[in-house]
Amino acid sequence: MRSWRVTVAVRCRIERLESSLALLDTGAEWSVIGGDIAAEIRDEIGQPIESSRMRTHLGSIDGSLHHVNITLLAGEEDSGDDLTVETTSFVSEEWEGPVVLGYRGFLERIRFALNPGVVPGEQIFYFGLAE
Amino acid sequence: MNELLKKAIDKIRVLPDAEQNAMAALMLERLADGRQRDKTFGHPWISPLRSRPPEPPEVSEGEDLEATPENAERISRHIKALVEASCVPEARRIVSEIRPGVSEKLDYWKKVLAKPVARLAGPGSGGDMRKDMMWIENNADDYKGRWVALRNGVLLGNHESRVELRQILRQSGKLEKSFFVWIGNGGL
Repeated sequence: MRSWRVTVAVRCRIERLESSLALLDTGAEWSVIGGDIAAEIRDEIGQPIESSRMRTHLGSIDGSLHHVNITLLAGEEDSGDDLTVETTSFVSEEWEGPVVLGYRGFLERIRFALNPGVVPGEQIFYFGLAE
Repeated sequence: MNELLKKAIDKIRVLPDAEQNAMAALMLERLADGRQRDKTFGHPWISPLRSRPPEPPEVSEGEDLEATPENAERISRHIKALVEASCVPEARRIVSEIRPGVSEKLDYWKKVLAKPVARLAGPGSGGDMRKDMMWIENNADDYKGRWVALRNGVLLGNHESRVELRQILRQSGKLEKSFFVWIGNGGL
């Protein structure tokens, strides 16, 4: 796997896998899931009906759009509820970057806000239903 | 030089420098080997700079887009081209007018282009995220190039392969509520 810089990292769960970090990217057309995670959820999301090619800054990759359940996790102790979005994500085992939470099929259906925090460790990502 | 090209150059000249460079890079990429390249998705890191939305693929005059099993493949290719050109609203509009069951591919496009559904999923299950992030800040350098699994700031295991790490933790009964993080060679 390659190294990458995750500027805005959000904790989430892909399908029923354990939680991990994803890059929040409002400039991304679609959410992107790759590498080991793509391989692990293949049975749950099914075989692709139509394949596509995406150009990324890591090179062009082949993959396909799938419905994937992505759950944003709230911390415990009165931090609110987890939120699951049945997203459309671009899934490609060739993608060696982080999980990307993009606009279409994900961010467009939730309300969210970022508090960058005054001191390190105080950053907060707020999220909720849009309707 | 033809009139259309002159108009295009005049429009490009009034753009800011950064957008001029982006337009030039796009044109050179498309013309590099004398052939038009396949349209692709915009990549998830940097959206190409443009002063107006991309043009959707052209539909031939009189082309019938009413979905039937006979023209389903052609409509599917059109929808795919729209999606790859980032014309998702137009693609969504088309699939919304197609009834289910015309073809497997059109049903696929209807499904993946549908607006996502969000729902609350119970009390927060993220655990104490600050402890996990603090562990990463203090220890990431020792685990470069590896997946680490944490729970409330405690290391459960580490491995080069996420699949292997899951297997190890499953066998030892430590998988529940764990948090997996990839530590790159440059750190997190």
